[in-house]
Amino acid sequence: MSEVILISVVIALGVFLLLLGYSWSSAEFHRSTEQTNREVVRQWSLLTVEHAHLSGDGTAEVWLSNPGRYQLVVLRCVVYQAGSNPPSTPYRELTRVPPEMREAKRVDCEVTGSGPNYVVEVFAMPEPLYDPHNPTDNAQYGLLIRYPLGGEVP
Amino acid sequence: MLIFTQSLYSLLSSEVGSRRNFDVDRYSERLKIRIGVGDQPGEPLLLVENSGPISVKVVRVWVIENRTGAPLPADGPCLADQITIDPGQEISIEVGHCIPDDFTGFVLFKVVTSRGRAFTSDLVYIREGRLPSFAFPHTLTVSIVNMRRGRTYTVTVEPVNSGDAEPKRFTHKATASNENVTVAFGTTAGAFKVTLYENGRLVQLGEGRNPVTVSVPDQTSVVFDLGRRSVERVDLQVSLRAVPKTVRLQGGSDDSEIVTLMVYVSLPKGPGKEQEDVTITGFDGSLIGFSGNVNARLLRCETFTGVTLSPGSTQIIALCDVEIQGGRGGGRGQLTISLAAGAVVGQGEVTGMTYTSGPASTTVDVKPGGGDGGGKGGGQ
Repeated sequence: MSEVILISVVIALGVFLLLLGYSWSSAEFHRSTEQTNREVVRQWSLLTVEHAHLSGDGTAEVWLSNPGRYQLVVLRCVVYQAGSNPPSTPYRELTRVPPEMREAKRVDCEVTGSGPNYVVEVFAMPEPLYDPHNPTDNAQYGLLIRYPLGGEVP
Repeated sequence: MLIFTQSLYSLLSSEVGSRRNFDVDRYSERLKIRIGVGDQPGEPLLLVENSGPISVKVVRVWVIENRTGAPLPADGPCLADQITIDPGQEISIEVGHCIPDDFTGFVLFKVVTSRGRAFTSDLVYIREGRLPSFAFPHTLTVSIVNMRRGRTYTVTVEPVNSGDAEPKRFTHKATASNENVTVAFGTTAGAFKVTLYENGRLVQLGEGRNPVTVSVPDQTSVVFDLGRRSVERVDLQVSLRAVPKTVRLQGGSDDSEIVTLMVYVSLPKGPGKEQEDVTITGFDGSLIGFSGNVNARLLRCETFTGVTLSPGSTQIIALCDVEIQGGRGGGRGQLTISLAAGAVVGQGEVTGMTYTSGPASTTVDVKPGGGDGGGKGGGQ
C-alpha cells in the first residue's frame, strides 16, 4: 500500500514539474516570438524626407514617405538651426505615413533659430509597436532621421 | 526550446538578409534627369534615363521653385503615378501642367523612387510657364571670378539694338572669399551690353571691361575677373579668465585652493581685410607659467580643439585646474598666470596657413583666511 502511495506521489510530482516546465516554456516561447517580431518590424521600418522647405510663418513644410513595410506613426518633427542643440518637444501623434511609398504625407514643423542652415529631425514609431496611451514604450524601436535644409526663414 | 530558438534566429537572420539586399538594390539605383521640349512649343518635358543595373519604379515627381523651395503646385507633388523604368530605358514625363502659366523663375525637378531614393535635375529657367529656349536659341555665359565675401553682385544683359535676352538680370551674394559663379542667359542673335554691379555700384575694371558689349553668336562668354585677393593672416587673440579671482589661504604650506583657468581664443575681424575661417588644431598647456609671491602648479587641462572660428568670433578651447598653495607671503599675495605666445595653434580653412596666438595673462589675488571651504566664492 505504501508503495502505491509513493508511486502516486512521484507521478504527481512528475506531472507537476512537467506542467511547470510547459508553462515556463510557453511563456518563453511567447516572449521570444514577441521580441523577434519587434526586431523584424524594426528591420523593415524606413522613413525618408522627400522634400522640405521653410514657410513664411515660422514653420517648415516637411513631406515624409515610407519605403518600408509597416505604417509609421510620426511622433516628433522639429527644425532647428544647424550646429545648435535640438529643442525638446513632447511626443504627440502628428501623422501616419503609409508603407511602400504609397503616399507622401505633409507635416508642418516648428522652426527654431535663425538660419541660414537648418536640420529637420523626425522621430517615428512603427505602428505595430506603438501604444497611443504610452507613446514612449518601445521607443528603442523607433526611427530618428535628419535632413539638411538651407535658406533664411522668409 | 533549442530548436525553437534556432528557428527564430533563422527567421530574424533571413529578414536581416532581405533588408540588406533591399539596401544594396536601393543604392544601386541610378537615374539621369534631363529637360526636353514637348509637343507644344516651350512645353517642358522630363526625360528620365535609368543608367543603373536594376529596374526603378518612379512613384512621385516634384517641381520645386528654386527661390522659395516651395513645390509647384503648392499642395504637393506634381505627379504620383507609378512608372517602371528598366535598365538602359529612357522615358519622358509631361510636367508642364504643374507649372502655372504666369510663373517665371528657376525650378528643379525631383524624381522619387519606390525604394526611397530621390534624383534631381539641374536648375531650369521657366518664363511664363514655358521653357524660353525656343525663343532664345543662343546661350551667353557670364562668369564672375574672385568675388568678395558678403558683397552682392548683379549682372544685367541689355540688347543694344534689336534682340532679347532672358533673364535680363541675375543677382548673387558671395558667401566666401574669391568665390566664382557662372550664369547662362538665353539670347537671340545680336549685340548685348553686359554690366556688373557690386552692392549696387558699377565695378571699375577699366575701359571696355565693364560694361562689355558682345555680339552673339560671335562671342558667347563674358568673364569679369575681380582680381584674386590674398587672405591676410592675423594673430589669434587669447584671453584668460580665472575662477575664482580671489582665494583665501592660511599661511601654512599645507593649505591649497583650486582655481579654474578658462582659455578663450578669438579671431579678430579686420575691416576691409580678406580673411578665412580658422580651425583650432592644438593647445600647449606647458606654456602656462606662474609668477608672483604665491606657489602654484598646473594640475590638468581639458582642451576643446577642432572648433572653427569665423572672423570676429570667440570660443573657449581649454579648461585648466591650477592649484595655489599657501606658504610664501603669509597667505597674502598675487599670482600672475601667463600663457606664452604660440600656445594656441590653428589652421586656415581655405589656405591651410598656420595661425598662432599672442601672449596673455591674468591674476589671482590671494588673501589670508581659508580653512575648510575657504577661498571659494571670491570675487571675480
